Amino acid sequence: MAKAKKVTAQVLGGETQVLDCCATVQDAFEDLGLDGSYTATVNGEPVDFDHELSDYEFLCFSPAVKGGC
Amino acid sequence: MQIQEIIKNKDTIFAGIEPKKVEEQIKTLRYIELIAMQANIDISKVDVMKMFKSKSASNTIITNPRFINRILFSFHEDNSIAIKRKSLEDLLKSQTRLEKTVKKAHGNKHFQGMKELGSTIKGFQDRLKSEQEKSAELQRTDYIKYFSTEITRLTEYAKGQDALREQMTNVDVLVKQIAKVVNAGFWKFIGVSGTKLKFITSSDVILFEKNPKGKLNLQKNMGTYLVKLDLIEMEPIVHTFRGNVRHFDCIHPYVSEGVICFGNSYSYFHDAQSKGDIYEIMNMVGMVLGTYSSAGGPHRSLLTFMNLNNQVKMTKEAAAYYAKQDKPKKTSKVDELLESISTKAVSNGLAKTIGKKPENASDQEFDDDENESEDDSVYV
Repeated sequence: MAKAKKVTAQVLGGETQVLDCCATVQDAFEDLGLDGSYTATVNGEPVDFDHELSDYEFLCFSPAVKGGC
Repeated sequence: MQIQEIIKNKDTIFAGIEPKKVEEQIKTLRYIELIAMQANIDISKVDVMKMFKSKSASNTIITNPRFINRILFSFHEDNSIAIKRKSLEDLLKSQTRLEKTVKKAHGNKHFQGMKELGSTIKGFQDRLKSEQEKSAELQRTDYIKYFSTEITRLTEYAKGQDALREQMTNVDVLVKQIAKVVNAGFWKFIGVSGTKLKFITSSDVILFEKNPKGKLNLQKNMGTYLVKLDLIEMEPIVHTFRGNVRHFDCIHPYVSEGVICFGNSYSYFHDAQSKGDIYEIMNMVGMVLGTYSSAGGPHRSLLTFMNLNNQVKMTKEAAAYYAKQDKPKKTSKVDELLESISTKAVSNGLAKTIGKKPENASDQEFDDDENESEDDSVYV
């Protein structure tokens, strides 16, 4: 599996980081040292953790926070 | 020209372009505003048509998300430090007012009342002890459980209040907490009012709900919000600021009359609130304001807001804030020096953005850029 270059990754609300060597969303999740329940979007589209990343994509992790009453 | 303005005037701006391509342009604009929000990039003053200008037609923008991402993040790299610095400068300017705020908050009845908490805990401890000393037949296990739970709960609460009190007596601790909030990027600090800290979202909040399998694709620009965080109650109240929409008492699916419904994150929020952890509180507020799921049981669904065009008028405070931001400042010699350094950095960054080789870029890096051709696929 080819590893994507310069993927900009972020946990919603935090600072962006450029990851240089990630094949999948799961790799990026581990690289960022995240743990727990998160959902991911790549270029604004919801994706699964086995989604393969491409160069210069934007990956955003959101904690599984559900506002509600 | 800003995205909302372009969308509003799409017929004039994209005159002479076939409808399918116009639709692509609108989708791309929505893509840009979504990525900008997710990455905390303030593009409110950016001329989007100029920044993402396509080479193929003068009144269109590029649609390839990889190129859009690269332009957006180069822009972010050039500007984010300056924006944070500005917000931190505002914070330091507010230090005298913050000191007054802290005094006001500390002298409040709420904190004075906290002194009684110790005696309440002591009362529960005494009752627990006396229950435990009873003989097995007379002992009430439910009482023991209740007293123990209350002692743990109130002790935790007292610990949090101690931290909060420390924060309230030391303005430096408070300033550091606010700086931490600003540094994360989602919020800008804009001042204090009474005992309330005022933050605005760094960019417009874009809510979306997408499910490709169910062909669900909703996205709405909810505008910029103002949150006032009361230092006594640690209660965040959400207000409109710029470009918001309203449906009766709701200005956001999870906000009714300014009060946020935290849903499944309420216990985290409550924990942060009792410790007076401003960073965590604002982080939780940002998470709830910046995400949407119909499964959470919102006050109003996103669909309700989708067709609302009755944009709330920009508040006077917002108008004054943006007017102040636009005003050129008199700069000291140090600022001029700093500005000359940053101008060089910015011009290098923007040169990269618009396709010119920056002074210090390696040939290899630039060749990589040049070798890529923009395809017309839309990723949105």
